[in-house]
Amino acid sequence: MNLIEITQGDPGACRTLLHNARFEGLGTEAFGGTAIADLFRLNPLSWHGPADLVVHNRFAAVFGQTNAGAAALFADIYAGNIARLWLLANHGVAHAAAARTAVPADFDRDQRRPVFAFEPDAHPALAPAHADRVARFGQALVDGSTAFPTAAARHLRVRPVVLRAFSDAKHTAVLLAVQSVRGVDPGGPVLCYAGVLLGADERLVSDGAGLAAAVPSG
Amino acid sequence: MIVSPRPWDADPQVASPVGRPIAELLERRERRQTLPGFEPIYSDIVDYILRCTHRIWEEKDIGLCRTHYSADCTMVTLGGPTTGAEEVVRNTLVSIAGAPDRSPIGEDVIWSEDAPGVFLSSHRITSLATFSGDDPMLGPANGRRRGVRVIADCLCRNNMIVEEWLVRDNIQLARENGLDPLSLARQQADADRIGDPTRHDWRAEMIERVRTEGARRPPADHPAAPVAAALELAFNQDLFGEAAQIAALSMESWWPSGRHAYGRGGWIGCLIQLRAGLDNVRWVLDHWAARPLPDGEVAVALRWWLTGRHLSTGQWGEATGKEMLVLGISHYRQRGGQLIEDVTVYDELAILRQAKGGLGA
Repeated sequence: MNLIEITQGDPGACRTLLHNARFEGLGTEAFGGTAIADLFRLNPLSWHGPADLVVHNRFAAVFGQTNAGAAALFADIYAGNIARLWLLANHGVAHAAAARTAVPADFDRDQRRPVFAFEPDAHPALAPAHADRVARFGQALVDGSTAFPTAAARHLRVRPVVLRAFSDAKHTAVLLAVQSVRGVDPGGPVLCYAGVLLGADERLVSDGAGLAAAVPSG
Repeated sequence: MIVSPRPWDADPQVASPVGRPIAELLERRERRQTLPGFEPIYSDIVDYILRCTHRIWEEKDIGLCRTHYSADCTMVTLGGPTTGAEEVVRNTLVSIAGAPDRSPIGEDVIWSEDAPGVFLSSHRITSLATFSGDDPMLGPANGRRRGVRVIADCLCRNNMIVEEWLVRDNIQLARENGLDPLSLARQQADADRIGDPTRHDWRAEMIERVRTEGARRPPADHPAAPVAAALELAFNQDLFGEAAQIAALSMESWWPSGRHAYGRGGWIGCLIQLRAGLDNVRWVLDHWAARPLPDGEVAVALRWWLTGRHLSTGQWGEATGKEMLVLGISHYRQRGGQLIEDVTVYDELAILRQAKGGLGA
């Protein structure tokens, strides 16, 4: 799976994008294999150093370093073809997505201690032995004992939702949609993505470009 | 009304288009489903929908509408119904003239055979187009390439679409093209008040139908039954928390006007936002279908109507007291009996248009 090559706009790698593939990242979004390939041809990413690849027959993820810092790329796969892509990186593009109607929502629906919303059974590609680690990592984000996205620019009321969780022999990769409130005045809800790599150590990569493009609303 | 007497998972050889490349989907193949009266070029009902869309919109054989829509077909949108294949030809020509490279990219086709040879297909599309010509809704050419989500429910027999229900995310399309939806809705409402007012009578008739007709429900063992029951709980009884019990904690929701939300809280947020603008709401189910997806998942399609009185000031402006009508089509993805994705489309621009006194409201 040539995920990194896709982000460099490589024509051969981009042929694995389905005609109806969907992309979110770079502070924008794109629909269709052609549009996604065009986006990366105009905004190629430069990766360096070793990258960690997690591959399952329906999902794949790569965690590595780009010129703008830590990055991760997640993919949904059908028979080797890519249906969805999420890029979590600090790179942004000038053309942001159009305004959307916000969905005001209550993610707790409870005033007791918030609990990380996670159903291991809903993620059949997740190694059962890693389910507890995912749960602990998520609860630490909810409790605030793991800062999100960074200690310097902290968000409050962090509520991650596990979109994808899958394992190979070495790692587990987790894609999170993270709802939070900006820890500055004025606050306001923000939605972005984050990736977690669980292996010998634990790594959290947030979508810095998405956070920068997010408009508090709600 | 015909309601899915054939098992939802009959004809497993008619595979879902989900996850398959377009080159494979448009490959010619032998007939693999009984399609009485359909052209030999079509192998099955999914192929019929994808291929005739490709032939008409991309190959530009717009005249095929005359052999693929019945002379008296009805096209139902919240902006008002139209009748006849010639009207379909005219509207398709105008649409292609404004955006010649329009590419209706199919995302799923969820179908049912409601009687022998009578099919209902629910076709979810993201339509990509460069507006290099003038468009009736968007105005003069702007050169932008943009996409809009559309779901078309088609009742098909003998190679013909005899009735179609079409929903399009028009507010997001307007925004993507730099237009202000509120101004656009006002302009449309102003135009609606000119001319013969009886052309809007269909809306009052439809509201009356929604208000008075009995509940229609899928059989208990149909995959559509739990989500249909959940929407009844949500819209007709305001029991949103109970409704959301069928949603996975990781559920993803795509709703019109670009709404995108996660989790049960996000799904409830979408439902309440629609409900909260209206009072004395009545929601009714019009049709359901389901088909198997790869990896044991199930796709469900629901077409529904909703009516209610606009008594709350909010997303559609000052409360007007007007009775509003909504036509919605929802596509769900289920895994292990839980909802994991909801793609719902209704034309919120047509709701705004009603709030501004258009469409006879």
